[in-house]
Amino acid sequence: MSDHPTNPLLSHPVFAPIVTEVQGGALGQRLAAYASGRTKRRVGDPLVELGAPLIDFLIQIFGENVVSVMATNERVGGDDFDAWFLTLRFADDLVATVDLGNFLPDAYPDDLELRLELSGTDAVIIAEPENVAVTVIGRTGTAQDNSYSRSYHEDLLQFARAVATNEQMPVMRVVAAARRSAASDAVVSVN
Amino acid sequence: MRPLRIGLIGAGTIAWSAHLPAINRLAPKIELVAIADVRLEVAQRAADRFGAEAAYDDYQHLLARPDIDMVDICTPEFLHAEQTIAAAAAGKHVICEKPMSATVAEADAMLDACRQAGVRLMVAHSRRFTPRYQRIREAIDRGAIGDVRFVRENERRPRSMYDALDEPTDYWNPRAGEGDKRPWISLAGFSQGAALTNAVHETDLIRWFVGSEAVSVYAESRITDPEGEVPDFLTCLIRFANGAVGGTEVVNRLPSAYPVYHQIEVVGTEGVIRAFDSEMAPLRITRRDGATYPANWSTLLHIGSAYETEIRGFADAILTDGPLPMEPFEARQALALSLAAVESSRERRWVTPAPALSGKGTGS
Repeated sequence: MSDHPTNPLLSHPVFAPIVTEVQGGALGQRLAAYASGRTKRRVGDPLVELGAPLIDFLIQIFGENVVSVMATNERVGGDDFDAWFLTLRFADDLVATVDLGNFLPDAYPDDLELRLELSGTDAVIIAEPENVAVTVIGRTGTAQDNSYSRSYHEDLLQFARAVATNEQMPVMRVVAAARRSAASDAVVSVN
Repeated sequence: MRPLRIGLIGAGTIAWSAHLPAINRLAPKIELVAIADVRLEVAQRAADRFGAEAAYDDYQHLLARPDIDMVDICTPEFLHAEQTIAAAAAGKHVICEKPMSATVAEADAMLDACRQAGVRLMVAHSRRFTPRYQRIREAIDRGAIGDVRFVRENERRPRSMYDALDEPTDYWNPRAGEGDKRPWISLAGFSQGAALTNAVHETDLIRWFVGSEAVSVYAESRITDPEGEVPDFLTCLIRFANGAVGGTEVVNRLPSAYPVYHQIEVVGTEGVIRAFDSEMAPLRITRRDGATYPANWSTLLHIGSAYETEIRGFADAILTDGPLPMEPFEARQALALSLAAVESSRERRWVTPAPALSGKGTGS
């Protein structure tokens, strides 16, 4: 793994503590994982640009590989295929539900929104790095400013570009399986 | 106008916690007359607590009373069809707890029986009467987000949710006499697990918000409880005829102190509606050993008002011969979606929900 690009989520101030918690057994029995990534960005493939960092993060914190994938590629925001919905089954039988999309409306307060929810018998871990804002309720309505929060969208895109051609990385084997699943409408094993 | 006189069948969890308190609050429009439960002592305790004049251990005795106009069926889903058809034959209007039944064929039989008997039928899908979901539907209807393209509704429940019940829940458990206290809802012989226990709420809401019929469903499930017989986890994707997509993930074994909560997002062509209970706990008590959210179940979903609204709406439809607030065909479709999810999770392939054979039921 040492020659692989480093996932920026591993050092992100919101996501980094999750590594310690999960690997330290804080969840107890792992029940489920839900991850979503949405952007306003109208170009690029969300499966790679959002999915690669999120799924890689899941693989690294759980220390388990994904063994099968069901995926569907849909049009949500417009005429183009801009969304992926994935069901990933890990080697330990954990099932992760992953929503990815370039469909956030222009008026949305954030350019990028990630959410991660890990459910266990002993703990639930919810990461919402965009849940940071100053809200001003004035005569003309409500305005929200989160411009001071650290942008990491470009970091994710750089990671996605770096791993996109690395077919041997576990996460890219999941991405490839997701494409085969969407094309065949069937559950696909991850090679 | 004289009150509608109601008999309740099945004095279990949902009756004690939701239906009977709501019926009491609806007096004098509705008058509780009798309660039937296979456990006579439980029926009697409920009758004493909520002011019914009679208690029975056989629901047929309740149906035989000519002074009862409508019945509220709060039994497990595997009894709904038999009891609804019997109530229709006795000329009683029926409000029935969700899910509508255990199979789609049973649901269709319920629709036919009530139509032929000329009685009204409504399934108590409480989320349809919950203010937050009604506000979401109203926003969709007024075009606030354009055309709905994606709906995600996730539900989380702590495993302690049923621990605090006063009444025993092991009646149907064939090993209850051996100390096995698990309720029917956990047993493979009686329940399909999360898909029907709570995900039928989600499939109904998603279909309601999308405004289209589902064409295929994919689901995966797990039994994470070492003592479990039915799935307590379900994740499900739904494709609709209009191209929209829905998703739900239900996790039912969270830590005991964790709040029941829901996460909903409706993505449209021109905007997004979202409501995350996890961000909006109205009461949080933090102690040395962690935080608790004792008001979430009762306040976030406004359960009390939801059940009151749905029973009042059904009663008004009967009294005025007006439209039902929710047609029973809607519940039939939600059931078909959830059962398709059960089938999909077993076979791990996309499944087409059972088609409607006789057109839309009208609830008479």
